[in-house]
Parts: sequence; C-alpha cells; structure tokens
Amino acid sequence: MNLTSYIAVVINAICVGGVYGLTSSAWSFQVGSLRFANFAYGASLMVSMYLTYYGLREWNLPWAVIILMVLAVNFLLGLFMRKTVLNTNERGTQILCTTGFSLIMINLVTFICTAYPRNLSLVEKRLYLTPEISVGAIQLTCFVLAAIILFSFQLYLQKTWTGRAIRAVVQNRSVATLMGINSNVILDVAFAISYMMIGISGIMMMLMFQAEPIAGEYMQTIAFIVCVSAGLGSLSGAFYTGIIVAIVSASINFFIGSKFHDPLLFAIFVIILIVRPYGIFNSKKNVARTL
Amino acid sequence: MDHKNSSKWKTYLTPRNMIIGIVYILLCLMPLGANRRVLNIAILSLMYIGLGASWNMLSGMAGIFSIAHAIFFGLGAYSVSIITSRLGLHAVVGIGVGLVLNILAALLVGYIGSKLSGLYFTMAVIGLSQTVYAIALQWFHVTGGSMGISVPKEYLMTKQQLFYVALALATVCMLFCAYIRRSRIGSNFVALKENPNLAMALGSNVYGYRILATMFSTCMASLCGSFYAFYMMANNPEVFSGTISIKIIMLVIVGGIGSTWAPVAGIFMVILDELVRG
Repeated sequence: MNLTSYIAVVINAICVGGVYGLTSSAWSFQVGSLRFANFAYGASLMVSMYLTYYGLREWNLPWAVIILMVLAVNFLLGLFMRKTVLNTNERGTQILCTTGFSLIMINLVTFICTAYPRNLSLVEKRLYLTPEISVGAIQLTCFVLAAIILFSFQLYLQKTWTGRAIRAVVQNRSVATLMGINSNVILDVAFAISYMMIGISGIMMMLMFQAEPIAGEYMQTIAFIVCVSAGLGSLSGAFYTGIIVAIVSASINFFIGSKFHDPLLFAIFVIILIVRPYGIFNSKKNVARTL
Repeated sequence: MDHKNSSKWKTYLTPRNMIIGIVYILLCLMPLGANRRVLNIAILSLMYIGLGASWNMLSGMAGIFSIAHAIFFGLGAYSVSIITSRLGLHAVVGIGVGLVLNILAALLVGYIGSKLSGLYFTMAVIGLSQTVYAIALQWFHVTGGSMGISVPKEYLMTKQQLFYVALALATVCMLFCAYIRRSRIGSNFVALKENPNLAMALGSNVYGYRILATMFSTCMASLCGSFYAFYMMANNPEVFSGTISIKIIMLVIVGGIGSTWAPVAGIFMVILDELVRG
C-alpha cells in the first residue's frame, strides 16, 4: 500500500487501458457512427481470441498467418452480420437479433471447444523502469500498437476516398446517395473494417488474458462504460476514456479489493451518465440525442 | 332503462369476448384435473404473461427498449426472500420493499432514458443489472452469494394455490395494461413512441411520461418477481440472468410488440421451452 506500488499499478493499467480503448472505439464506431447497435460484439471478440489460441497452440501456425486469418475471418463475419442480422434500421430489432447471434456463437464455442479456460501461457518479459516499477513488454507493445492502429484509422477516415465516403454516409445517408455514393456498399465496408479492428484487439486480449466462452461479455460491458463515458461515436475520446476506466478499475482493485469492483465501477458509470449525459469528451452539440 | 342496459350488455357479448370468457373459465377449472407437471408449466406461463405485459408496456407502448428486464424481476424476488428470511418480517412488507426498490431503480434509469436516446437507456439498464447481479453474488451475509437464499417454509403453498395466485397476477397485469392502453396516459405513451418531437410540440410531458412508463412496468415486474420467490422458495442470482430477459422479450415480440394481447399470443414460446426441457 505504498506509493511506488500504486504507481506500478497505474502504469500497467494504462497499458491495458490502451487495448480497452481500441476495443471500445470499434464498438463506438459501430454504434455511434454507423448506427448499428451490435450486441454480438463481445462474442466476436471471444471468437477471435479462440482463433488466436488455436492457431498458435493447436495448429502451430506462424504469427503472420494467424493475424491474416483472424482479420479475414472477422471481415467475413462483419459482412455476414451486416447482410443478415443488421440489415435493418430499427434499433430494437438490431439489439435483439445481435443478442441472439451472440448467444448462438457463445454456445457453439462452448460446444466445440468446451468451457475450459484457455491460456497462451507466454513467458512474460518485464521491463524494469526502477527496481520496483516494471512494465510487461507485451502490454507495452500492445498499447503502442493500439495507439498506432487507432491513429491510422483516423487518418484513413480523413484522407482516403473511402473514408470520406464513410463520413458522408454517416452524416447524411440520402444526400450521400445523391452525390453518387453507394451508401449500402459503403456501410458494408465500414462495418467490416470495424470488425477487423475487433479482430486485432482480440489478438491483443488473448496475449494478456485467458479465453473463455463468456470472456467477451465482460469486455462488452467495459465497452459500454467506455463508449458512453466518452460519448458515442468519438473514437479518440474512447481511447482516452479506456485508459481512464482501466486506471479507475485498477485503483478500485488496489484500494478496496476486487470483491465490490463491478458495483463500484458501474455506480461511477451511472453517475457519469447522470452528470454528463453527453460524455466526457463530447461537446453538447454533437450528441446522439434522438429522442 | 332496461332496454339500454341490455344493449350495453350486447356490445360486450361479441364472439371474441365469449371465447375469452370460456377459455378463462376453463383455466380456472384447470387445477382440478391437471397433474403437477402441467400445473408447473401453467404457473410459469401465467407468470411470464404478467412479465410480458410489463415489458410490453415499457417497450411496446412507450418505445423504451429494456434489454435486461430481469433486474426488476429479480429485485422483487430478492427483497421478498431477504425480508422474510433474514429480518423475519411478514411477506407483505417484502413485497412493499420490492416495489419501493423498483420505483427507485425506475427513477434512476428512467431519468437517464428520458434525457437521452433509447440506446442510453438500454445501456443504463445493463449497467444497473450488472451492479445488482454483482451485489447479489458478493454480499454473502445478506444475499447468500451464489448459493442463494430461501423463503421460510411457513410460506409454502400448494400448487393449486400458486396457480390461482398466478392467474390473478396475470389477470391484473393484463387488465392494467389494457386499461392504460385505452386511457389518456396510454395515448401519451404511444405518442412518445411514434413521434416524440411532435408529442413534445403538442404539449405532452415526454420526460415525465417516460419515467411513469418505467415505473409502471418495473412495479408489475416486481410483483411477478415476488410471486416467483414464493413459487421457487429459493432464489439464486440467476433470477437476474439474461435468459429470463430474453424469454420475456421473445414472447412479446413473437406475439406482436405493442399490441395488448401480445404476451398471451406469444406464451406458446415459454410453454414450448418448458416442454422441450422435459
């Protein structure tokens, strides 16, 4: 309970928080910008975690092949979901269909791989900043990679033609169609790309945590907290808030203990919703306030 | 006068109402001839009709999508169990405490849902359900953790008694739902579902009606939960689980979301579920 160990906890929480930020910003992009309430997000994350585990431990594939495989599977999964369960604009139907889809995925994985938790059991290398404070090498790499991926995704949205088309469709679908953009195809592509981000974060999560069929559910609730605190649709805000949430969560664990970790975290979330309903990093004018 | 009365009676004696009446009378006579298993399924189905009416009022009428409706149900069940077994008070106190807790929860999530779009309400409900679930699982002295908590055995009822209580509960919930749908409040609910901006422009208090819809709905779910506590006699944190929420949502959507008779029309899903379980 001294200051040095708390600093170590916070630094490690920041590294984990970067990955939280990446996963949540993918969800934030889907829900806030593309308006697809995707509640099968945790299950998709869990599927990419399992794919990483099986590729590395059971099939002994090289890393490049694993990453390509996870990306391809997630791209196809995103396209499939967009074509089947998310092929509607009504929010209730979307929530219900994706929840059902996630139940199917979780039970299939439980059926095929059993509920036994899988761990990559990598030997952890630690970088010592001082004799007491150390950072996991994998976690630091993941944090840096997450930041780079998010930054390049922002650049992609701002600079390329497809990115500009995505933003146009997000702002106003009918006007974008009038300007010669095939908005359905653009939505397909955008959704599939956000699914690729989920795939990358799934690989990172597998490196840090262990995979179980319900591992995605917890990440999904974390993503709710992060996205709503940041304001839906704000990608960089989601990244920063992911770090903040990880620090708060680690501090609760450090000072109070993990027993009442979830209630306290959610209580803070509800307080944020009441005090700043439009998010910490969102200005009041661009809030998704459709009554 | 006499003629007027008889004509008033004739308007109610449509074939549809007669069929409903006959089915209802048959339902009342059911415990006389049915065995335990059929009665169990009937009790659960009647309870789910009440829950479906509660969800239908919130999501079908007022258009606020609550995906974790089981927390309101579970709060009712847990408050009855805790009040009767830990504090030793009468069960009516437990039901009252459950209602008060649910009204508080409804004020909390309804406040969030009334200020922002429906997705935020959904997420606030999910957050609340995770919180309540974690408390039920971790606060061992009061809630009994994952082993659950049981109701004292003085409250044990026979299946026939339980059936009639469930029938009364389902009837009250459905009648309340039908009454609200026809009243001015129900018109306001539907208005704020179909076009909230127009409803606001016409002078309807959108925020107030959203909180009111949440409160009505949670109170009905709480009563169903209190009944479930007496039916099961022992509750574990699984009463907050997503399975119950999904079942409620499923039966209403299959029955036709927003129509008053949706829970009754969709109840075959629950019956099928229980039959498949065997």
